[in-house]
Amino acid sequence: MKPLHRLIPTSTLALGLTLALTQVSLANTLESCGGSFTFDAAPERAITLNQQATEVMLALGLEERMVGTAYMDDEIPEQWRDAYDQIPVLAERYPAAEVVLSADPDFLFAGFASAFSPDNLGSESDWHDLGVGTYIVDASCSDWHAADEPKTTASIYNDLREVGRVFEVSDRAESLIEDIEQRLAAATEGQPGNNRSVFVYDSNLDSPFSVGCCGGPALLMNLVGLESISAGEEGNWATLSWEFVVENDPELIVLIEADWSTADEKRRHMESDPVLSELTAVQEGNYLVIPFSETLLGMRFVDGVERLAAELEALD
Amino acid sequence: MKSAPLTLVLPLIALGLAAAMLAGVFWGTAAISWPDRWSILLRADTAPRNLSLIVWEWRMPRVLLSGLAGAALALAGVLMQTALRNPLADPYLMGLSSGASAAAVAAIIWLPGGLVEQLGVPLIAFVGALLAFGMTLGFAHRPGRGMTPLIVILAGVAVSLMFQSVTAFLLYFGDPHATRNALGWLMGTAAGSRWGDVPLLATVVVILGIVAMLGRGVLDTLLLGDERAQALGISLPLVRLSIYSAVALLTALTVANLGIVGFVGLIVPHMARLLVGGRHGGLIPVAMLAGAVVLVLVDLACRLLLAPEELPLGVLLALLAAPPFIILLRRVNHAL
Repeated sequence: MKPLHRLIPTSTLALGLTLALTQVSLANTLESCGGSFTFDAAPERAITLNQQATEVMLALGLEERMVGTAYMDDEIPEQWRDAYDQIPVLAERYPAAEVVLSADPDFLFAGFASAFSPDNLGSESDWHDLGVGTYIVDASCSDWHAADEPKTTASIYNDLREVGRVFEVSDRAESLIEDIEQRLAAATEGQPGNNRSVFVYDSNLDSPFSVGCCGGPALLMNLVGLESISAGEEGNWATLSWEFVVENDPELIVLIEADWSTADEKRRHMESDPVLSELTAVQEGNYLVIPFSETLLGMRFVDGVERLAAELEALD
Repeated sequence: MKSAPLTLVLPLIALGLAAAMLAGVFWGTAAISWPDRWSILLRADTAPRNLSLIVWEWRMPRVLLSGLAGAALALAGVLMQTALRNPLADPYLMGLSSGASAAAVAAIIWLPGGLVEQLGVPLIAFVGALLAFGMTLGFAHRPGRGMTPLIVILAGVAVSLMFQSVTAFLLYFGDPHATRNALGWLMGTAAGSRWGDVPLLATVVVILGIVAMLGRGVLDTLLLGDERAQALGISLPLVRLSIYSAVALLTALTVANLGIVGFVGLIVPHMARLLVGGRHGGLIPVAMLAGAVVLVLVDLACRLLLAPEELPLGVLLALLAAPPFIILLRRVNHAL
């Protein structure tokens, strides 16, 4: 019996050591959509592309370690504005690869895969060869998500955890995740959607651009307990036919507010159309409005869930 | 192959159009039962209200507009091929589609939404098409020497390419979401057609169709060559300018309503020629009817194929309409 007793602490120690060693080697390797990269040290000169990526960095309090940002979709939220204002803006959209390289970055973090297309920054592996690490927001990596597999909030947590680990701010990442989880739980607790049917209207007047089964906006509807009429369509988004909307006569309409297609414009279009104006939701004025940036699987997704839940409660 | 007699082809194709239009009204994304179809069509009180609205407010103007656009493009194609005596001429040769695209894309991507809503993309596209047309004529015109077909073609190609560059620039630097909306327009769609869009295009198509039929003798003479036509007392510059203007009006209106619709203006006139020969008395009505049939059927396919999602016309048009044309072409070759 004795030897066994002695063995247990030893094996625990060994296991602990192995784990610690694995963590040391893993801590510096970042798995991205276009391949993995191992950092020698935590990055000090990061550049973010697309607002989602910028907001992950700012949420983690990493503005001191950023040397540039680019490609905003809308205003940066108040809570991060001061931090954002310290960081140089390299370009309104994607900067040219030369501009990025001349800023001497050690980490590039993008919100969409298009950032690393040949006509923008060039492939992730090219940057790895130059000794620059890269990462694309989890939800935007089509290799990681099948078109018919609904995305979950795990994508948001994964981004925080992975980027937090590489920058050695895992504590901050974990507390953010905990905070988001609590807020989501609180907002969705009563399922304010009550399984009502909903048509999500993003843009386009002739044939409405709406949501498919599996993107951020579809998840948003699910979380608050709404049932999207186009949940059967593959992909994040889907161009529907208006006849389909009329056939389903949704109880609610969610209008996505964006610069390129305002909620007002869409509402006016439906109210002025001879057929759409007969829809129950249009007649009863059952509209909910949500900003586009709060439907992406990023730092503001939880704001979107809270907003939609509050709007649903106000409707009842 | 000897051309089929007009008295046989014309009624058949008219019947085909009637059937295609009825199908376009009966089928769509929303399923309607057979009893409902008839009660809706006869405006019976028992017809379900929402389905009735879909048929009367959406499908009917959509089918009518598709048909009119098909007829307009086919007529414009016939006129261009005759005026330039070039089988590859099409209604878009004078830069009309490129001008319309550039204007529409600029409106969708750059202009403030409120302003675009006020003016409407169709009007902006129409102005763009006419601007490109004016530029082509301006470049092609040489004082004292008028316009030769070759110079018109080359000027049109230059203007087209220039506006395509503008469109590419706008698309490349535009916001991806706005760009997506613009792409839908560039690929053409009959979705969103309303009754209000129908009267103008209908009037223009009918009037220009009648005018073209009245001028069929002159058009036939054009095919004999410039010298022969002049010897017969035809003022070529005047005739050509009238044809260009008619084509511009037909095409610009179509593009404004449906976006860019290819194929019909280039291929349908040839289909009609293979069927009834090159004399305009038969060619014009057959081409116009055939153009209408093609667009009505392809639009129906766009609605049904991936329902409840909808496809733009450009995705299916050539894919569906090219095979029958190739079969027709091969049969003619064998017969020759």
